[in-house]
Amino acid sequence: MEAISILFWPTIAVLLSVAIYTFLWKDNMVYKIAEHIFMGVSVGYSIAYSYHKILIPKLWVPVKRFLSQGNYILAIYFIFGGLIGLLYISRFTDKTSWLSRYPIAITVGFYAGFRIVPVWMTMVSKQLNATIKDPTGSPLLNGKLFEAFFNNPTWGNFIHAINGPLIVVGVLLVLIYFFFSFSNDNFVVKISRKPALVILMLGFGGAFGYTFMARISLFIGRMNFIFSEWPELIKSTLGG
Amino acid sequence: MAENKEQKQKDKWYVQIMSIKKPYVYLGMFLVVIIPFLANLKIKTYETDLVKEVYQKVEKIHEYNLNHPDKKKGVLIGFDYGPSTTPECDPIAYSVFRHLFLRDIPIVVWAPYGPYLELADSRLNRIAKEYKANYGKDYVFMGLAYPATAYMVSTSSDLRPVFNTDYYGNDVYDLKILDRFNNYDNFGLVITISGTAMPEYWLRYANSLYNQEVSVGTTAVNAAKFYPYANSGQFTGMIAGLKGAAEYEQKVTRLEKELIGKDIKPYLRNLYTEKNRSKFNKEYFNPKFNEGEIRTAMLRRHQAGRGMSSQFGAHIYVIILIIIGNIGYFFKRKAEKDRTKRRRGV
Repeated sequence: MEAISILFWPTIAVLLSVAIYTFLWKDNMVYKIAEHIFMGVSVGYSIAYSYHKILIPKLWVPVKRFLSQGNYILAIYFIFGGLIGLLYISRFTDKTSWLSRYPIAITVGFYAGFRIVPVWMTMVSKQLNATIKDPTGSPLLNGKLFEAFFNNPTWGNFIHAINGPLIVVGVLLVLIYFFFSFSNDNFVVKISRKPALVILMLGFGGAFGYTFMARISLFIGRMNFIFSEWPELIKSTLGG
Repeated sequence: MAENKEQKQKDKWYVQIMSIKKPYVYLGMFLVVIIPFLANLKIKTYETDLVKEVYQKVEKIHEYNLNHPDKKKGVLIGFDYGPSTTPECDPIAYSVFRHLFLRDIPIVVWAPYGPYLELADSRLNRIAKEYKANYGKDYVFMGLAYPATAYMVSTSSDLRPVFNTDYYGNDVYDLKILDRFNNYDNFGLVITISGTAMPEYWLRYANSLYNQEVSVGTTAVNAAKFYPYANSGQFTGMIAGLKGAAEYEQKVTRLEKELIGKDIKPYLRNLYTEKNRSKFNKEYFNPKFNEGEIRTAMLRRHQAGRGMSSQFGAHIYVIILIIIGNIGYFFKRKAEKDRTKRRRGV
C-alpha cells in the first residue's frame, strides 16, 4: 500500500508528460485532456496558495499578533492595506469596477516612483559606463591590448583586444541604425546600415542558440524524469 | 500532363529532403537526446570566465571566513525559479548549494513566488542532508518573499521583521543563524538562481542601491539578456543554462573529491550513525541514507554533465538538419531558375 502511495503521483506525472508529447504527432484527445488538467490544476493551486501562503501568514497572522500585543496602529495599517487590496475584486461587476482603480493607482504610483532611481542606475548609467570602461576601470578602446596581441599573438590575446572595440562600435552602429531608421541620405548613416544589421543578426543568432539550448534542456529534463528518476523510484520503492 | 510534371517535381531529391514529415524529425531528435542520456555518456566541458568568477567569489568568502571566524560572511540565495525551468536551474542550484555547504558558508534562502516554495524546500534540505548541515545554524529557508522588492530593500537593514517567521513557522528571532545574517553587510554575495526576470530586480535594488555583489544562475533563454550586465561587472559572474551548470558542477565535483575523497558513496553511507542522528531535526530531513537515495544523489552529481552529452547530440542533429534544408533550398532554387531560363529560351 505504501509503495502505491509513493509511486502513484510520479507515475501520473510520467503519463501526463507522455500525453503532452503526443502533440508532436498531431493534436489529439489525450493531449487535450493533459492540457486541461494542467490548466485546472494551475488555477486551483494558485487560489489555494494565495490563501494559505499569502493571506493567512502575511495578513491574518500578523494582524492577530499585533492586536494581542496591543499594537493597534500596526494592526489598522495591515487591515487598511488588506481592504484596499480587496478592492481588486470589485472588477467582477460593472457597477463597482471603478473601485479597483484605487489599488491599481496606488501600486502603479508607488512603483513608478520607487523604480526610477534603481532602473536608471542599473539600465542606463552603469550600462553607459560599461561602453566606455571595463569592470577593472580600463578603457574599452585600449591600444595596449593590441600591442600585447602583436607581441604575443595568441587567440586569447586577440579576443581580449577586440572585445572592447567590438562593444563600442557595435553599440554606436546599432544606435545609429535605430535612431535614423527613416529615409536618410547621410553618408555615415548609409554606410552603417549593413554592419549594424550584421551586429543585430549576431545578437539574435546568439539569443536563438541559447533559446534552442534552453528548449532542449527542458526536453532532457523530462527525459531524465521518465528514464532516470522514475525507474530509480520504482527500483528503490519495490526493493532495489 | 500538368499533374505528371508536378509529380516529377515532387520526386526530385531536393524537394523530398525539404519535406521530411515533422514526426520523423521529432523522432530523430528523441533518439539523439535519449541515446547519450541512457548510455550515461558524460562530456567534459571547458570552463568559461563568467562561471569561474562565481566560483572564485564563493572561494574568497570561504577564505575570508577562515581568517575572520567571528565575522563570517554568508550567502543569500534567491531561489527564483519554478517547475517550468527545473531542468536547467536544478543542476545550478544543486552545484551552488553543494559548494556552499562544502565550504561551510552560512546560507539564507528565500523564494519570491508560491509555486517555488516546495521546490526550494526540497532542494535545499536534500543537499543539506548530504553535508550534515544543521537547520537554523548552517542554513535557513525564509519562505515566501512576495513582493520580492520589499524584501530586497528591507534586507538593507534587517530582513527579520518583514518575514516574521521562516518557512516552517519558526520565529525569526529564535533562529541563531539570523542573529548575524540578516542584512547585506553580512552577506558576501547574493546568488539568484532564476528562470525569470528576477535577477534584474536584484541588480536594481540590492546591487545598485546597496552595492551588494550579485551573481546569477539563469536559463539559457535569459542568458542573452543578462550578458550586458555580466560584461559590465554588475553581475559577479553568471552561470548560464545547462552549459554553465555543467561547468560549475565540474568545478564543485573536483572540489568535493579533493575534500571528501574519490568515492562519495561510502561517505554518504556512513554520514549518519546512531550516535549523531539525534542532533538533526527530522522535520527538515531524515538523517539517514538508503541505497536508492545514494544512487539518486550520485546521479544528481553529474546531472548537467549528462545533459550536455544530449545537448551535443541535439545541436549536431539540428546543424545537420539546417544544412540539409539549405542544400535542398539551394538546388530547388537553381532548378527553378534553370526552368525559367529554358522557358524564355535563353
